[in-house]
Amino acid sequence: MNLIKFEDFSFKYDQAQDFVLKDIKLNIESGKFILLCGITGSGKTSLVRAMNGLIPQFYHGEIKGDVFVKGKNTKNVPTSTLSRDVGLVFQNPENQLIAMNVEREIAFGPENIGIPWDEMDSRIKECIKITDIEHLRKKAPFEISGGEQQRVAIASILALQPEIIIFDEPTSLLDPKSAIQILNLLKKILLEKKISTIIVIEHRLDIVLPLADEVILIDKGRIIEHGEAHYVINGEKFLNSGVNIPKCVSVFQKLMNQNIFIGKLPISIEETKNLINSIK
Amino acid sequence: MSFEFMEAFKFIQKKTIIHSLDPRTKLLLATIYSILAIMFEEIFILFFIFLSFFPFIIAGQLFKKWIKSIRGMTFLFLLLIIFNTLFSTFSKSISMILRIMIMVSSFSLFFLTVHPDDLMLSLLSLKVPYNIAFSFSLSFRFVPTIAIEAQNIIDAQKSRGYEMEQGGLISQAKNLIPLLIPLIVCSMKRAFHIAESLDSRAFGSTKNRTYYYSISFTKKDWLLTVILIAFFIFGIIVKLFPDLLPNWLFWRFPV
Ligand SMILES: Nc1ncnc2c1ncn2[C@@H]1O[C@H](COP(=O)(O)OP(=O)(O)OP(=O)(O)O)[C@@H](O)[C@H]1O
Ligand SMILES: [Mg+2]
Repeated sequence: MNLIKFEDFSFKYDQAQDFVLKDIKLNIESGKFILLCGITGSGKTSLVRAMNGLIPQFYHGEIKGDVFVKGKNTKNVPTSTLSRDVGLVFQNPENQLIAMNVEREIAFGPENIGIPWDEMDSRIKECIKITDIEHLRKKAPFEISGGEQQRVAIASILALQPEIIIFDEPTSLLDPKSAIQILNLLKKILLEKKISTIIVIEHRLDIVLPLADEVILIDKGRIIEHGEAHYVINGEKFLNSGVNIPKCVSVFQKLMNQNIFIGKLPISIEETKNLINSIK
Repeated sequence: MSFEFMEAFKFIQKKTIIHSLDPRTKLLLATIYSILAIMFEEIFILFFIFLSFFPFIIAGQLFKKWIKSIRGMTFLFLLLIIFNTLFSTFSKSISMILRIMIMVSSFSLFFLTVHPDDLMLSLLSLKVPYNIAFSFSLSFRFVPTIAIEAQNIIDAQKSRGYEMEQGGLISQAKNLIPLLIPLIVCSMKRAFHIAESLDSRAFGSTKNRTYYYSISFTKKDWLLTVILIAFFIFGIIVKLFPDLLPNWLFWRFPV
């Protein structure tokens, strides 16, 4: 089923010269872990803003085409209503934490949609457990580190139990180890069917690629490639896009250029291992 | 002076009987003490009112904070003594100081021991609309954030050769401009992002909002309320029939 559907959508911010999203045709299906990548300023954040109605309701500008979230046109349905279907975790955690302690922070979303107390309590406990922030429960947002804030922000969106969750660089403030932890955690949530689709914007491709089912590649506001992870990684466009290509991919790509290797480029350590074993 | 003084109004989490009281009880406490402070001007009476407030400060483990806030006001007190003595009497200035101490103490007790989110709940219980009550508690949440931001701006400007405490009063005021402008711009940007994230978390999507926390009047709240009201009535009676009190309570400084 199509959860989100872009129909020839273009958008230009009010003060901007150029369109930041151009002729976007896109279907987001359920049951997928989707990686959205592209270089800085390519329009990733803008694209996800269009997925929960922030564009055009919050960010005004010139629009062409439509976006539908589960059949609802984002032009007509307010973001606060769409947020029950699409949860968005922002790039900067500082401004999305609005309560005086972590527990209240997580409660905020469920409170807003009128969840009864008992269910709210169990959701809060669950989200705290999933994101492993029990020790922060009574802390204020300004007392905890950036990485911890990111976990709290994730928990507070999980508590709304939206069908789709979008993470805009959820690990930008984390060390590599915690980043792997968080991303694996997201994958686990997806596999346990707590959420039906996850979209992640992430620069550390080496960590996300092994988890991704689909990759969307965006460049200068256009989606230049979209498909199954291996398909996108093996394409010319990906290799020339300027994104941070993982070591395992780039090594085998060089071998390929020198005609030493023919085949599918590996996107994870596991695949690389198998590939090397098969060559031996 | 100013920052130290503000400390006296910033909530700190503690487990004391005062903290566990309902915010409405504490609001009543602050209000009654303030009204009593305004009602009387006799030094001894004000002093006794002031003394009677002490147990609350002790029970709430707020003594250190309280001393700080009083110390933060020494300058104001000095001014009061000088001007009041010049233009009226020394006794007046002392009672003025006592009054201010009572009011500041009682409201700082309120803000020190009421969690901003509970403040919101008590506003709601007083039928204040949710939007207004919420923005009230939101502004409390962002005070420390903006304070940190201000410090960062000061540091950044200092590293570019900016000096805040230079020159006379007017040029010091002018010196604030390179601080205020970035601070206002940052805060406006921040407000926009906060609004964006509120909407993304279903803010205002239903009228039947639920609440994870609730405030409730317990036995000790009722008890204190009764005591406070009795105390207040006693105050009114004394005010209306001053003859009931011994004369020495009305003693003043001869100047
Ligand atoms: N509110 C706005 N008003 C005007 N222009 C904007 C606004 N937000 C973003 N832009 C512009 O749109 C373009 C795309 O920005 P966007 O934030 O979507 O990129 P991004 O891919 O998320 O980049 P990054 O990886 O740095 O987060 C940029 O050129 C940016 O300057
Ligand atoms: Mg971005």
